[in-house]
Amino acid sequence: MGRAERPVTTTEPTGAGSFEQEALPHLDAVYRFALRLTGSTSDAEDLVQETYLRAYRAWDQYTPGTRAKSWLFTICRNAYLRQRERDTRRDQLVARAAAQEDDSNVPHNETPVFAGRPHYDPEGDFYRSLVDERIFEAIDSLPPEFREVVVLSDLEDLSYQEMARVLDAPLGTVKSRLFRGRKLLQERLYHLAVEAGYIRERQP
Amino acid sequence: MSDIDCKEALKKLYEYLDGELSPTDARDIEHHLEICAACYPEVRLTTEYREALRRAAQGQPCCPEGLRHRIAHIIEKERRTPP
Repeated sequence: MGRAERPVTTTEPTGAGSFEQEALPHLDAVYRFALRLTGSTSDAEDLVQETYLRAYRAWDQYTPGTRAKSWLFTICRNAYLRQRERDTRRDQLVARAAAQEDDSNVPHNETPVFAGRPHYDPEGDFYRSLVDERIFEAIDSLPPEFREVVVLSDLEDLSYQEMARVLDAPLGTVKSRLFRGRKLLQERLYHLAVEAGYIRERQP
Repeated sequence: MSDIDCKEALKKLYEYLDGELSPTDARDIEHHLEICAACYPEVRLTTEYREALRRAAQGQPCCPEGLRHRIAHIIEKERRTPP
């Protein structure tokens, strides 16, 4: 399936700047974003449903002419974080150990492991051999704070400024997370290519 | 135009490829990359990465039809509910 966005038809007449014209055409993009955030199709469907209901109720706060896609991403991400907080609180009641989950997801090494270029394929030809599933597998394995910037930038093509709004973070934070997230992803993709036998590492 | 070194060029490489640099900074990087053999592999590597992600982005799933209809139904219901 391609990226073509299909409008949803409703029984009400719709005009320029209406929710139907501005928000509904981004359903595919919001669904993809939700899928990468949650990692499950059923959770993604629930999240998209909640996002659109909230967006509809808050439509009078949307500024016409601004990019509806990033406005919807903001609502989607906030709904996801709220859900995650609820889950965490519930888990804490069951097992306090679960509260440590977020901490364990943060990489301890500030320096990009990949640090530039792989030794055995310096120009990155291995990228051409990686199937999409492997790429998504690697993206989904990134810690959340890096995964979301990589998805918003490299898959959904948002500008740095738009990402800063979605993430409610300063521009500098967005840039540094994106840099680290991409380096981390490149390193993981490289290792996937080695595991799959696309790159043969030399024996020491 | 100012001369920049490899460190500076590679530091701003993503921003350059993302189209986030000012025209002046972008020209400085372009000028450096045109004449620097040492930076070439890193540029190729980064470009291949971006291409792979772009390719993968195009193969992503669309919103399922069932969800699309459910949302249309929810919005319709909201519209008919008095505030």
